[in-house]
Amino acid sequence: MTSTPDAPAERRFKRMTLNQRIQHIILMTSFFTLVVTGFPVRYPDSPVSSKIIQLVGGFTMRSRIHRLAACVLIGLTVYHVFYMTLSKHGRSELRALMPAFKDATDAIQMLKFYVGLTPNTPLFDRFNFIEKFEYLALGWGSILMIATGLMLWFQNQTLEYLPKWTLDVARVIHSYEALLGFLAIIVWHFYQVHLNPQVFPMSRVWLDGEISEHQLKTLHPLEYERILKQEVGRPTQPHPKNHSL
Amino acid sequence: MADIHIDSGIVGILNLTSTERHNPKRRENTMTGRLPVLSILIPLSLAAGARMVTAAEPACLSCHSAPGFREMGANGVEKSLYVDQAALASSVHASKSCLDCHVDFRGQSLPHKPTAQPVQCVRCHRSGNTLGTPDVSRIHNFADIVHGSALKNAKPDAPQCEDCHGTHEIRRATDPKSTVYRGSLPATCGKCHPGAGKDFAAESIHVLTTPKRDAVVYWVRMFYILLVVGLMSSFCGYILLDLRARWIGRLAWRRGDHRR
Repeated sequence: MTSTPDAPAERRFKRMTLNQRIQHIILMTSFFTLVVTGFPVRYPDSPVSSKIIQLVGGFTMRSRIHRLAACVLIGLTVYHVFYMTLSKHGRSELRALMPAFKDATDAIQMLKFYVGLTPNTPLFDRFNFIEKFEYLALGWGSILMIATGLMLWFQNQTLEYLPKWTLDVARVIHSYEALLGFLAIIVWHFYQVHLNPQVFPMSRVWLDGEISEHQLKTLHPLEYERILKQEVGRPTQPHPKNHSL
Repeated sequence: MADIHIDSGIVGILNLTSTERHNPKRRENTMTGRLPVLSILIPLSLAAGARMVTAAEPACLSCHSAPGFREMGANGVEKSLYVDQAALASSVHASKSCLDCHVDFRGQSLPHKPTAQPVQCVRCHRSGNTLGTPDVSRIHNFADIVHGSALKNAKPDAPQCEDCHGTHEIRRATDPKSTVYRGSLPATCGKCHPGAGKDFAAESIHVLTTPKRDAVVYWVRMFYILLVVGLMSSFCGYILLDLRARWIGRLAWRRGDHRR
């Protein structure tokens, strides 16, 4: 696949709109700000915590930055809900992200492929079961983090209506959900978009919003097939039995 | 105890501040300006008590039993240094010496240094103590709890033990006069959490996550520990399987490869 000077440039397909890329950058920035400024609360004995607090200018400033980033995340979440439900493209994406029975069979087939029980990998559509899982986990995690974070932020107002043990539960959820989200991003998401040998050092979709024809064909063959069908005058190409995922 | 009564009377009349008492120059100026007649008596009484402070004979109440005894705090707000002897006598610490808690004054001569270090309740209230005192060290070691975490992070508004339990008047939690008696909690907690309802402290304040005590917090925490461990193990396992498939050539290794 090495391109030569005479070879035609490989066709590229749009995968993320500018709007979605901006949303992703805002999410990424606010998420890591929340992780860094939340770390001292989760691990107060760690020497890293004292460094962070010192770096940002004290514990009070840490709290302010944490809450500012939380406001950004809340604003983004609200916007995203409207975007995914009110815009035509958002609704289309939401439909494609909804879990289906095929996702379960795809996951089982993928595992069977890994252990050598089947020769073929499943054929993925626009979003595979991994991407759907990530998105839904992010959505659910955001809702939990925002709800428990607001309880902890406005603890006096919360305690006017709820007993203290709910605040203790909120804190446990906020703390462990943050840990889960951080590890999921570092381990799972980073492998999928950075450390996976096939995309290493990085998938550029989040920057230019495009995916190469080869990657679309191999990673999302059903979507590729559908796009070609929709294009007038272009014949459908059969997908290979083995896919170089 | 005789000198305690004498001194408390004198100090009560003069209404000296702690700074004045512990700073000889200021003390002299103040006394001279206020009450010349007694300006000789006070240094004499202090001189009589200019001995080593010991646990057996602290003599602390010679000054601290005066209701007007106070000092100017660093924030410009006056702070009372008065110790109510009646309250102290009815507290759970009645049999304790002042220096059992105020350890930073041990071995000092009177008048002692003006700045007192905060009392560290966990000196006694720790696990493995031989005094039979309630163990609260687990609270400080558990970062999941709001108060414990705030303390560890040195949050400016983090509650210290005495903010809820009081100081010299500490009583058992089962005593209706205690600030931490179940019925008193809305008022005590309300000092920092205004509007705290009657159900505010329906569960433990010092959360210790065990299946029997604070079971909800315990099980939510256990659920998350299992979820984190389970999910991370699954992720790592899946990634290893994926890398193996690429390594042995069943999947593409590099960008653009169909097969390795």
